[in-house]
Amino acid sequence: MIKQYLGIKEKYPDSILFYRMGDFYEMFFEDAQTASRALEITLTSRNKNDDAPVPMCGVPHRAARNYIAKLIDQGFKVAICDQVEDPAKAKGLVKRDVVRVITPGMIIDNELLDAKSNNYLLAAARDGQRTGISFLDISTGAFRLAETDDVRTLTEEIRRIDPSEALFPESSAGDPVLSLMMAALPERSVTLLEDGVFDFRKGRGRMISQFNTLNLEGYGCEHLRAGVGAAGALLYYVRETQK
Amino acid sequence: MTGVETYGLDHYLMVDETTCKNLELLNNIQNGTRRGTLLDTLDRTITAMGARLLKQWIRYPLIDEKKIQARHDAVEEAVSKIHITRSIRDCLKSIHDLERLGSKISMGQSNARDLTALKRSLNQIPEILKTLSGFTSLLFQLQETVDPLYDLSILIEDAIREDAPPTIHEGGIIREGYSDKLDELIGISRDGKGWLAKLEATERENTGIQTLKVRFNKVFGYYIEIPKARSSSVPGHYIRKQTLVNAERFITEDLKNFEARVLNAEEERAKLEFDLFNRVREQVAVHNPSIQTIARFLGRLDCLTNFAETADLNQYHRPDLNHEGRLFIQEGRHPVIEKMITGERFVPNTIEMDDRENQVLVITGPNMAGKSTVLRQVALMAIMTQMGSFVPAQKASLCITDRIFTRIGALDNLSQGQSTFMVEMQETANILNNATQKSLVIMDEIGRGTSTFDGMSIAWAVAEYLHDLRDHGVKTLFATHYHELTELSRTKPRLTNFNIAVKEWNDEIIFLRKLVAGGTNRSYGIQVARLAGVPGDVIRRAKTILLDLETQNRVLENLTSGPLAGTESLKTHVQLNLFQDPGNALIERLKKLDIAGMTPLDALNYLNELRERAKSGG
Repeated sequence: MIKQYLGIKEKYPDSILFYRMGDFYEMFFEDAQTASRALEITLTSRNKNDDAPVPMCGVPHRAARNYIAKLIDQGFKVAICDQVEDPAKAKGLVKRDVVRVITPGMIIDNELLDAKSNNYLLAAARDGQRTGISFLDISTGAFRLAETDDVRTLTEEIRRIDPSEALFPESSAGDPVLSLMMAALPERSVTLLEDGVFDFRKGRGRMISQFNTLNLEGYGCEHLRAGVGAAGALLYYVRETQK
Repeated sequence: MTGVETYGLDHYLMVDETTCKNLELLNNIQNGTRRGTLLDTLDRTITAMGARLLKQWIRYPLIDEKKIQARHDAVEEAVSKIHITRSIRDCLKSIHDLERLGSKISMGQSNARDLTALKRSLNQIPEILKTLSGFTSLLFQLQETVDPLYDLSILIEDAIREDAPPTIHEGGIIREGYSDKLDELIGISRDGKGWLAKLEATERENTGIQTLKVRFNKVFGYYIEIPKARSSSVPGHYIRKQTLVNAERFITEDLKNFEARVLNAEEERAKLEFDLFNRVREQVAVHNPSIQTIARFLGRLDCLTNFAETADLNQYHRPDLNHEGRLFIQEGRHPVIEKMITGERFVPNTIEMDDRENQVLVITGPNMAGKSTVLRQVALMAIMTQMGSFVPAQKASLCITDRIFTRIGALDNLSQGQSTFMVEMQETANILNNATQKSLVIMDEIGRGTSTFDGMSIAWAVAEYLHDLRDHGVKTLFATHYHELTELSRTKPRLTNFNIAVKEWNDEIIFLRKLVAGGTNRSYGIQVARLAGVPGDVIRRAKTILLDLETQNRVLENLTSGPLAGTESLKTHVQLNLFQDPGNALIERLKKLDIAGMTPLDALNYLNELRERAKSGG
């Protein structure tokens, strides 16, 4: 079981993995230590009598929502790993997989959100001299993008958007514009993704398939390479976290 | 997600983060909550969509004149029909968060309660549209192409029970009459006994055995029991299960099916309900684009009628838009403060700015007189106008502003290790580098974070720079307690002095809070200090020192009489002031000097001597 756990956890290194066991979501190792502190729940261990017992803690699955809310509120990401086959029919270990990753910018559950505010996920991308931003509120479907070569207004703009999570290319620290933009946001809200995710052509493809159109002319962004790159990264992230 | 909206960063009035904080648009400065903010004052929205949109409108005021006018037109119409407007707003009370419901449903994350909430909301729409039909403003029209989704609410009405639980796997969701198969399952689980009684009756009739019984036990389940005496009349399709002393027990194909159905009914029902629910949910999800369009329409309706409501309750009026670069506010009030003060009446102020004589207004007056309030209310009114709201003034005519900059004190960034003065100068630099001719600049007590003379020099130079900015200048409200700055009006044609009137009475001061033309030459700091409760000894001592300083100053002013034309003369003024003792001695000598009786060489030598003395400090 621990082997299955580790196999799944490996794919979600920056999330706290909620591993479904019966009526509980269990957390192990470092996740257990972090979560027990953050949630003020008891830390115990599996295989207590082993030489190296595994730290563990858990929350009942029916009450999981509140615990998830607490973690998200503190800036953590939570990967929900459920049993994906009927335990009664399973031979041996029940198959499990992550069905959803909840991050500060990817909350759908209305009860975890402030009704009077949008909850934005933002992405920024560069293409030559141009910098693009795009932001999305997955809970309302509000989705906008803009592009400019004026760095100062961009930094102001992302402060104005006030996203709860922001996606930047891995190489941003070395980029004069993106690093400035990152600095304008709280550190814990920044998520770094591979540079390729922000690619214009891939982004364009994702948008066309999302909106089911021939091109992006109708949205006025066919030629905004940096803006579309940013928007494409958002769509990528949505698909990765909402399975 | 139903599409992406491309926008330009220059399509909206830029209100930077500092200004947003300074003007307390969304969060107050004390503790970051909504209390005492512009948002809080303006927000009487009813729906969640409206509340979010209002927040967006505050952060993204428009700069396109037509769009601003369209909002003002709508608000004006709604104010003029305020009773109808209020009945529309009553309808909005039953509208749920359609944006989030629609998205949740389209992502397959919703439960039955979300669907009934959607239905209840959609049911309000005919009434809202009917009430709105008398309204002619463009923004009150729902595009004709939009499907009002009547079918959808009928579908949900027919399918989903009002009392459905929040879980979707345990049944109790689907209404009876929606699916024959489900009705049968519900019938079975609820009314097994009735079915059995009916079976008993029909079987008695068919077999003619009046003593036939249908019974249940845990070992065998359901069975038909027939007394041994009548076993010869048992029909061929009865299957013998058990023989007792005086009776035999049978089952039939029907009964076996019944049993299976009853035992599985609950489980089957829950599964079927889930399937049916999913099908309804999918049908609804297809219409998410229309749901979102309606949600946006209702959000806008909420915001516009919200403006009408606040305008009516708070006596706001429609501002005009002009192209002459004029900013005229008659009897304007601070929208937030006028609601917060108790006891005292808020004193309205008239303010006029343009790009000719009244471009830079230098406003002097003691602390606490209300300079900051006047400054902020002008900025707030520009924002309110461009977001589409009416404004707290008798009359107003504004030109469209592209950016609002504020430099307002008391925002220390000490926690980030930056000194007050450093922050102040960074903000000032930002303004000087980015303001355009169409911007509005609010400067409140710049230069306060450093020594008096440094501060005054910087304030002076900044005021000049703003006046001369790109040869055109920028509209600036410049509040300062350095009354020396009033001198600027002598050399800067577009700069005018104002002050906030104060009445002196028996060495006390009374704040009139009225903006009047002209400068002041006193700052009443000591009187203010007394009002604040500074001990009498300190006040008396301060007065003595002030008198002393003022006497010396007057001597200096005689020396440098004439306008303080620029920074250079100011510097002289300031430095002489710094070294009063040598200054005084030198002045005395200069006064006695008989220039007419000196040769040029004598004069030069004497000048050199004076310089040496000045260097050595007397």
